[in-house]
This record gives sequence, structure tokens and C-alpha cells, in this order.
Amino acid sequence: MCNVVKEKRIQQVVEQISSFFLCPASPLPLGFFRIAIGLIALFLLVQLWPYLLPLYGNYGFIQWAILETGTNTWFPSIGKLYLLLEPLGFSPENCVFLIFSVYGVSLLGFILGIKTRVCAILVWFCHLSTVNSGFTSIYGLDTMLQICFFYAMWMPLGKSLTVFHFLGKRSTEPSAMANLSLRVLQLHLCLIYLNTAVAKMQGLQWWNGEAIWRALMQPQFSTFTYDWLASWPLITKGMGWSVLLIEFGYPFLIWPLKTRRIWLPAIIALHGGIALFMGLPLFSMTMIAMNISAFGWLRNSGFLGRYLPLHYFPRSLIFSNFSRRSNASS
Amino acid sequence: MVWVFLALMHLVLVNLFIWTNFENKETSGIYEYLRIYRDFSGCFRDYSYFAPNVANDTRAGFITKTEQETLHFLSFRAENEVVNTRYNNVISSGMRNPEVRELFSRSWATAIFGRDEKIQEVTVFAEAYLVPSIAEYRAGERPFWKVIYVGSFEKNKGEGFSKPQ
Repeated sequence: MCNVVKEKRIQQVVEQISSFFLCPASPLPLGFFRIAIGLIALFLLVQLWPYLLPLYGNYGFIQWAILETGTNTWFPSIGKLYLLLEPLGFSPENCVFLIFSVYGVSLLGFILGIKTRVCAILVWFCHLSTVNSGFTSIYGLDTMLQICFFYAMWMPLGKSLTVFHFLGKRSTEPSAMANLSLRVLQLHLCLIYLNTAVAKMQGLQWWNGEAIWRALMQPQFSTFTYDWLASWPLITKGMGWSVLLIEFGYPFLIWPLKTRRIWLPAIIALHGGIALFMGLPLFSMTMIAMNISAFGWLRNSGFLGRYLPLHYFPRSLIFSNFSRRSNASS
Repeated sequence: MVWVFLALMHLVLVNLFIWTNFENKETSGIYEYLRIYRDFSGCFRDYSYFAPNVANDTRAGFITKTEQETLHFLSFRAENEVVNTRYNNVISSGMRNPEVRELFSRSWATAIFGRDEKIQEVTVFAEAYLVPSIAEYRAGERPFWKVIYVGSFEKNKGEGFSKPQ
């Protein structure tokens, strides 16, 4: 008797896990994710293009001889590509432009949804190589883009909002893989915010408001004058506490719909603030795109209304979909 | 379910990479393969941005001297703000650790030598922006740039290499 109850319990847990991860979901948020991330990366590439050689060239500010010594053998880089292509007459400069050209063309294909998987693999490889060859210049934006491109290789990003869909191809049905992809993205975002919140909580500066003060007073980040904040220390303290609350609360309060209505706009506002007041718009846009893709589409079901809404532990939905499928196949 | 298992394994590994100080783990055996996976999946850094504390801003510049003793100042900046963010990262990575400052500034100087063959000497300097606390600011202290590194490099015609002074 006890074993039967145990088995039932295990079965229930497995069912819950599988419905959480495998309940068919619309691939539309993933289409949005593909276009948003692709456009950000393409914009970044256009901005960096005139400075490719100082940033990534063999005789740029950090020469390859320095960069290559500290890198993993398996990590692709422009320097390693040059070693392969040198016998064919390629110069180091040619290799820099070659890899960024392939990156740009692949990004175009990725955004348009033409051979999405192939383009995603090329984009991932090129971005990884450029990250390695410009390791000293990278920051959060590059880390996030690399995560996105890694996911892009196996997520069904080409199942909606491609150029073919705009030319009349019908969107594909909700799929288990689309839901699994969204779940992984959601869980990864929770990890990101938990990690950054815990790290911030270990510093006194975030509790007493000095972190906000210091960040806004840095010439690198400051877009306006903030010295007036010294007269209002409670403002910086409040802002510091708000950042801690939003980031630490994210992994727990982004899931229930009621709190998500507060937390999603709050996190978007946080990144909007970073873009506006600290001059890091591309990083902020990447984070906003990831958040909207992962958690935003149910909230915006008005304009995404044609697609099935995503529920949590949607047992009725999963079973109705399975029965619909089995009816169709029979 | 295989995909679910793989996805869960991936998330477990991401946790491992960001919470366990994986950077300082061994580089052999299973860790070597995990490191490859970490790099390929984009988890090569944790997400502790601006944490636990906000570091000082840094800037750098170059004073070049030609054979005719003409002096020029070049700022380590670009007109493009997106590029400037990257230049700032190059400067802060180079100046963060005093042990590698020499190596990085030599590399920057080499890039400057490569811009114009008339340049015979490059002086690299880097500064950190020291922001007083709110209380100190209210007491009258003000932020200022403090020189944290100065190094001069000469073009050595014979050996083709620069020398710090």
C-alpha cells in the first residue's frame, strides 16, 4: 500500500515536471528573442566596425601574443583562425575582417530566419572567437550575447517571425521544445539575478547607497550631473535597496502572475535606468529583450493573442493538446 | 524527456560555474572538459556586475615624441561611445592588477608606435577617478583623477623593441 502511494507520488512529480517543461507553447516569444538579440548584435557590430583592428587586430591595443597565452586551447580565436589560414595567404587583418564579415552575414540570416540553425551556429562561433580575441574589452553585454547565441543553436528560434512567415508561411503550432526553451531561458534569468543580487548584498556600498552614488558619479557612466544627490543621501540608499529588492526578489516573484505584473515592469525599469543614467543601452536592451521573451508574452497577450497562452503546471492544457494531437494522428 | 534532462544538466552546470569559484578550480581531468563547456555556453564570467562594490573609473592617454622633439597628446578614447565602453574595459583590465600594468601599457604603446613611424617615444599614463563618499563630499571633498601608472617606451631602432623607463 505504501509502495503504491509512493509510486503515485513519484508519478505526480514526474507529470508536474514534464508539464512544466514540455507543455506545448507558442514559438512566438522565441521569434521575438531571435530578432531582438540579432538586431542588438548587428547594431553593435556596425558601431565596432571602424575600430575592429585597434580592438581585435594582432597589432591592436592588446596584441595576440598577450591574449593567446592566457586562453584555453579549445577556445576559438581570430589568432587561431589566422594560423589555419596563413598558408592560404591570409594576413592577420584579413582574418579579423573575415570573421566579422561572416558574423555580420550570419546575423542577417539569423534575424531574417533564413537557415536559422546554421546561422545561429555561425553566429555563436564567430562571437565566441571575437570574445576570446577581445577578452580584455568585453563586459556584461558580450557575456549575455554569448549565452543567447549558445541557446540559439538548439532552441527553435526559426519557427516564427521569419521572413518566410511574413511572406505568407503560417506560424507553426505550439511545441514542447518551444516551452522547454522558454523554461531554460526563464530559469537562467533567475540564476543571473540571484547571482548578481547575492554578490551585491555582500558589499556595504549597496546597503548604504554609496554604490549608486559612486556609479552615477563616474565619468564613464554618468550621463547627467548627480552631485546634488549628496544632499539627499536617502535617495541613493533607497535606490540601492530597490535594486537589491528587485534583483533578489526576481527568482521568486517573477513566477506568480500577480507579482509578475509588478516584477517584470520593475526589472525593465531597472534596465531602462541603467541605459539612461549609466550610458549602457545595449546591455540594458539585451536584458530587456531576454526578460520580455522569457516572461513578457503572457502579459502582452493582447498583441500576441492569436497564440496559446502559457500557464503554469497547465495539466488541462497539456492533456487537451496531447489528445488533440492523438486525434489528429489517428 | 532526454531534452529535459539535458536542459536540467545544463542549468546545474551553470549553477556550478557561477557559485563555486570555478575559475580557480583545477585545469586538468574533468575540470578541463567542464571549462570548455563553460566557455562555449557563455558562462565564462559570473553575473556580479557592479558588485560587491563599484570600482573606480579609469582613463589613459599617451604623450608621443617624434624625432623632431614634437610632442603630441593622444587620449585613449574614441568618438563612439560604444567603443569607449570597450576602451574603458581594456584600460581597467590592464590597470586592475599592478603586476600586469607593465605588460599592457607596453602593448598599448606598441599600437601607438604602429600608427606613425615618426614616433620615437611614447609615454603611457593611466589615472583612476577617486570618488569621495557622500559624507566626505558633503564635508567638502571632491572627486579627482589620481595618476596610477606612468611608463615611457622608446623605439629601439636596433632591436625594434621598446624599453620602459
